[in-house]
Amino acid sequence: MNRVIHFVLGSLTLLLACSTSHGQGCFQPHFSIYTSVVRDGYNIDAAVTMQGYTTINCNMASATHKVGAENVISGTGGWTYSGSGCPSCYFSVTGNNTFTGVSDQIYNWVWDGEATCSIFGTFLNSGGGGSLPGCLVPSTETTAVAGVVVGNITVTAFDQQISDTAIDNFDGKMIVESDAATGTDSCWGTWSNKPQNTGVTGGNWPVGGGQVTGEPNHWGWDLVGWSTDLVTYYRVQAPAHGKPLPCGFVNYQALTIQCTVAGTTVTYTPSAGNKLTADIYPGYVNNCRYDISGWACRETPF
Amino acid sequence: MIRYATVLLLSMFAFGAWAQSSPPTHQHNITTPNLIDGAVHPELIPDSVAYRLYFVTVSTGVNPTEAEQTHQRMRIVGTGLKNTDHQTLVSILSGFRAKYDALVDKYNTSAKEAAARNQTTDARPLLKEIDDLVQSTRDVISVQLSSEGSAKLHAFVVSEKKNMKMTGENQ
Repeated sequence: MNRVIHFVLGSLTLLLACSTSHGQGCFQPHFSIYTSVVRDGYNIDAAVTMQGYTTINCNMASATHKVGAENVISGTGGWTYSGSGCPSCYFSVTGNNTFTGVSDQIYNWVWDGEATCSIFGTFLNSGGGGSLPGCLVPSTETTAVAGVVVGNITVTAFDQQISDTAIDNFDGKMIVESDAATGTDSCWGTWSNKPQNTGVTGGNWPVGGGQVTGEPNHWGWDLVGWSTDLVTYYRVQAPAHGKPLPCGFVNYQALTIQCTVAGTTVTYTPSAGNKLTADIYPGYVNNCRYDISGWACRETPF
Repeated sequence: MIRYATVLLLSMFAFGAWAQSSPPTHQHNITTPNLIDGAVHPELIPDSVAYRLYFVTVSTGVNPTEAEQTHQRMRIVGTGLKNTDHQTLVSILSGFRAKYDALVDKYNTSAKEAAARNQTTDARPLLKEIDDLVQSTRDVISVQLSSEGSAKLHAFVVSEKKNMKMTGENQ
């Protein structure tokens, strides 16, 4: 029985020694991978970057390493490789892929990053993918103050214009908002009997319709600000509870645009979202909308 | 005892032969166990790594092709920078890329020479130099871009951590 145990232990020791010489004990990879997708009109631009190096702790004089980035949209594209270099060399490679989509189509995106040794093969690999809908997507959006809301003058109405490089027509498509991230509300306290204002309300607007009818490629109005009731409430309650004015909220707004495919939408705002702010001062309010390509503020006495 | 030694010796040969005869395999789908996924733990991706990946992805080499310029334009538009900030960033990134490539080339030359002498190379000085370059580029951005553009770019790069992965050590 002892011999069996010794045999098993001896075998395990040898096996571990072998794997150490081929694995992390011999070389330890230090790599990073970045994937990104941007859109402009019907164009989809995807990039995959792989970079890093390997710490070598053994004799690998005869080996070479290289890194690769795979970037395939609907079967087009492929691998981009760095040149081969010494095992401890630093590698960096980016695979770009621009694809022109068609409405109503869904495209499969496959990406991968790998580091390969000429002796031991691929020693680091990380991939993924997803679906990219063919869709007309704006690449820019500007904002302008349209006015204040009647009966709620502390709320500002903003009018947006969207566009792409090809100057396409977006009229009729629906814009829908959601939260890109959780916002902040510096007016609120545990004493407050009002809800915290840390997110958008989830509005939707038809491009070229509603309150901006007759304005091609415009949507709106996007209403930003505290209601007059809340301004009055926090002007008294915030200082009374140790929160000096100004106080206000910050929301981070993600916007999606409707594709022609039923139910399919694409987010066109940067991943950080648009920043919407509303601050209450002693004699006025200041509401701002920081958009993809610009910003606008409205200071309203109240 | 003799039988045990014989068994152990045979097992050593057996594993040695296995190790020798195993051909180099293409081990696809091997994932380094300590790969940090920025989609799950963005706080574990340092800003320096996020900026480095962004700068390298968006920058171009000397005399970029039309396609490279198109990629770059789309990527910078995606950050929401205004036109003046856009042009300034292109110029800053060009300078970054030239210095980055020079640092990497210099390191790789010394690493190749060391490998030829059967010696290994410590990459940490290179990483320090790259980190310094990334930081100095960020400093230039904060000075030369508008405050709004600089803040917008920072928010964008930080939010892009969700699309980044990295191994856990010495990045």
